[in-house]
Amino acid sequence: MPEQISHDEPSGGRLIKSLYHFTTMIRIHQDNNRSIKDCLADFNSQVSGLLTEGELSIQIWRGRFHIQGEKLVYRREYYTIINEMLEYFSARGLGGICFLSTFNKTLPEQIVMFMHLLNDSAKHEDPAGWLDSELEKNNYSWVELYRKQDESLIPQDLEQSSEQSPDMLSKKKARNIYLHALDTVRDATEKASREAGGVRKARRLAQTMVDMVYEDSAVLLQMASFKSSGDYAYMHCVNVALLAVCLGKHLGLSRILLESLAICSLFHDLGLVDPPDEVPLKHGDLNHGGLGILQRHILVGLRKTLQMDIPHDLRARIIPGIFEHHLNLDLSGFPKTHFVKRLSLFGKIIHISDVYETLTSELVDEIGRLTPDEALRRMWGEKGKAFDTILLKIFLTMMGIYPIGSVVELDSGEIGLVMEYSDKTLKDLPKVMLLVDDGKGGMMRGEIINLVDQDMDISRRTILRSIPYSRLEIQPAQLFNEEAKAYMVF
Amino acid sequence: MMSDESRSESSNLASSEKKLEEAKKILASLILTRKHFSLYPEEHTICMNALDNLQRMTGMYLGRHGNLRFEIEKDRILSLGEVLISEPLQEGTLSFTLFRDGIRWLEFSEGIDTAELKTIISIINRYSILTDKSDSDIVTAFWESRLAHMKYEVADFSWADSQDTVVDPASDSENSGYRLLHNHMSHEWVSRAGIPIDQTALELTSDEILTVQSMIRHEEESSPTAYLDALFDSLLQYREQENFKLVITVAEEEYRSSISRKDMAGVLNILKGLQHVLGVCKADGIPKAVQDLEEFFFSLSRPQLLSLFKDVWHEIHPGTYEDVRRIFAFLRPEAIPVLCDLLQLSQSPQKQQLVLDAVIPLASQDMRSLEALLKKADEKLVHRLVQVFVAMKGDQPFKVLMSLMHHPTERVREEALKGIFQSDSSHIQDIFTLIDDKDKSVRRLVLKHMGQSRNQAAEKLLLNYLEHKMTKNTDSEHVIACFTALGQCGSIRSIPFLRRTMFEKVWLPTSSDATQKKGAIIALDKIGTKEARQVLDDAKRSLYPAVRQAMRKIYR
Repeated sequence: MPEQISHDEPSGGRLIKSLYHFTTMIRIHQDNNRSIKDCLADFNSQVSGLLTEGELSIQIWRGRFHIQGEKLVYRREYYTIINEMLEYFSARGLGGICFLSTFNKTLPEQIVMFMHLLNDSAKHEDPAGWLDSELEKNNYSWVELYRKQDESLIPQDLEQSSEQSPDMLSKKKARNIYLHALDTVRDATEKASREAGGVRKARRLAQTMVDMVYEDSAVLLQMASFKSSGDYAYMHCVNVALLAVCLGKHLGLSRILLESLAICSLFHDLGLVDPPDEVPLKHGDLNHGGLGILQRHILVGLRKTLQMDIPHDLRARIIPGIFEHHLNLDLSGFPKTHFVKRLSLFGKIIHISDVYETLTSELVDEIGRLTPDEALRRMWGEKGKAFDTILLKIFLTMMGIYPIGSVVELDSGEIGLVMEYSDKTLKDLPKVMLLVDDGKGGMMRGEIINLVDQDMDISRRTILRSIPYSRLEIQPAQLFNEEAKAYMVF
Repeated sequence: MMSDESRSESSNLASSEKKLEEAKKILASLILTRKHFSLYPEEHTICMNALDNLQRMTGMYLGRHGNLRFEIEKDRILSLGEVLISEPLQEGTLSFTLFRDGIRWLEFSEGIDTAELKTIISIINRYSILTDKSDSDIVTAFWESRLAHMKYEVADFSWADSQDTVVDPASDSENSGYRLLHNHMSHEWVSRAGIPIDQTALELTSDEILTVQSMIRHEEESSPTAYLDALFDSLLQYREQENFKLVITVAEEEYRSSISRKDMAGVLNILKGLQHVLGVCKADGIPKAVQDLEEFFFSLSRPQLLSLFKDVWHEIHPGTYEDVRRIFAFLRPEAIPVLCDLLQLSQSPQKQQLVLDAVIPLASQDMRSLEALLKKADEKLVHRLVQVFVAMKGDQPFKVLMSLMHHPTERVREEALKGIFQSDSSHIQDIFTLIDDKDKSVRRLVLKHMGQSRNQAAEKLLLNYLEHKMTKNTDSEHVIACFTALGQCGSIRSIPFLRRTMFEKVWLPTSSDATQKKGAIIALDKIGTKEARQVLDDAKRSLYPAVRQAMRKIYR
């Protein structure tokens, strides 16, 4: 019988339990006692089992252990031990321990001595400081300590401040969501490659995204216009997620469905981030089967998703979207299907978002790069074939003829950045941020004008055409978030 | 004399103290209400009263002082920077329950009603017990409940971990796959013609609006196993053993949960999907995959999986019987013992037949488990299993039925005999051996069968029995029954014997002789041919008083 996927044997719990026993036994017995040797063997085994990617981190945050960045989920029978160890660390001013890759080569006596030092440190005024110096004195380079953090020192920028306007707060919140999303996708990708990890972090992020889309979806669309070739892998997933959630909201999906859609979008390219070694790194080689290998990313992504610790209902919702996001409405595209006869709603939504994001990406070369409006016109030409017509209509209505983030040339000769559409019915008359020369070869923010709301006595300005970002070397998202620029480094 | 400033200061202090006092009382009320909800049903008066009290106190505070925020630490709850309550750091306390999942503060705002407070308390109680499942957490539960008058803030591990907001760029290798694939995609799209977008064309028609609503409804109501189609397709595309093991494991999980949900259509879809994949793998020669898939199908018949049906058997709806029938078609003979358990659980004839229809072909493949089951089955089960043997063809089932003729329970013997009669009439000689069974009902049944119709073989057996096997001690009722059966199955071939029986002179006639004569008359009457009637006429005019007496008795 195939092996069960089992998430009910928390190895992290066994590690903490092993550490507990070790530090307890070492107080009672001599070092050469059989019990100490057993504890040492068990502890070694637990650490070695978890020691991947060069290190094993045990950290404490808000009263919970986190092993390798993942919150420790443990059985009730471990509860007392876990609590005692939390107290143990707290009493020593420790926020955690990190065992490095050289742990495996460490002499047993050193590990035993380390346990003594851990125990003894509580007698000193600055236990963590004393421990640090002892580790240095003994040259224990296989272990590092984390100091206990002051958990009140959290970035307060999510809290309301009377000095900041709602618009400013909204932009800062969107910026935070974006950064958090990048971190979440990176984290999920790393864990998925180790066939581990859950979705709690992604869930929190998705819930925040959904809350934000109800507050101010335009701000999220502004963030989705961020393009960078340097961090494309994660930004693409985040941008697709933002677009998909906005589309889902315009469609009228419930919050719970939107949460699932966000998670599905964040994970849709999980299989593409670390392509197999045989993938050729030159475009020309794609004709020799390399494309097939890349297309397998869908199936790799499916496998990684199945291996994650995801609640059943959520898994059932997100799998179809991950599988179908390169399938067209008429089931052309890839992979070929026998069982899937029609696309799921998530599959259709993510397909639209993914194609749009790809066509407007900075990663593609000059030949393939399109301005946002050009991309939309190409997509509109494939309605009913590649895309669900109704969903595409809603997407186009949401984005506008010149989507948020488009750089446009007005008939007055001015250059502007499309910010939002204040009148939902007039999708070719957005609010535009004029861009002016900053005198250093770049562009900076100028006046914001609403093309809907122009004085009839002054000649009305209209949009002539869109301009590729690369021609002006600007980042729309950075201009949107000018107020928060100090916090953001791209 | 107090200055205006100090008067204002002390007034503010008193006001803050009052606020704190009220906040403390509200928190105490919340904790008490929570306790009541954990002890009593939600509709209990104690719970309702506590909830009303909590809502009243909270409403008054919010009306007087504005929003009420509780700041959460692992073993205490604060408001306005002051500790309202300290609790032991242990599972189940309000502070630890909220703190554990990252809640930094909770804030109530004006308008909060009893329904919301009830929801909040239910959620807190539900998540106060530690679980190692990843299904959900208190924050998600709050979020999904959309509490309009309660806000909260959650601290996440990553926020503390990343004090600076510099984002490390992805590595080249991480981007390379994207670069290649997306370049390929975009080159394809660039070559396609774009068409102008007419804004009026973007307006949704009323039909399209209905379609959207239908799409959403379909998504919300979609089957929990619909996603398996994608997994099965992935197997057809990507045939690595690792993937097969994984997908089969997932499929088995879904199989189990579909049964517990009584979703028989879902169960069937899983089996059909995997069956198709198995067929493709066989055709394409992928032995490892075939092995894994076949092992899954073998496992369906084992108690570990099949017994899941027992838990839901009573609730299986008649509308799903056809699906169940098709599910059982995947089973192997190993399934027979559990299927027999289902047979015992089946009250309705349709359900019984459903199971029998599954058992019969399996038993035809391999009867051993059924035979083993018979040895320890109770009367009720044996009674039902007889039908299986009756439905089966061949010597083996017949032998089993015959062996059941010696079952200690009369009812079983009767059922087996009925079954024998239904199944195969060619074993008449074997059946006839039961004519001397100690059980009267068995004897009666045998004779009833013999006399069902004109039958030369039956006639011959009866003649032989009557002529040579009967004794003077044979029960008279049995004798009469034998002659009656002879009359029903016999022909003119029986006339000579019957004549002899009628007219044979016996020096010392006994009651047995009279019984035999009586029996002969009945037999002749039932044969009814011209020759038989002739014998009867002769008997009426017989010089032997015994014969005439017998005639009179019959025709009285």
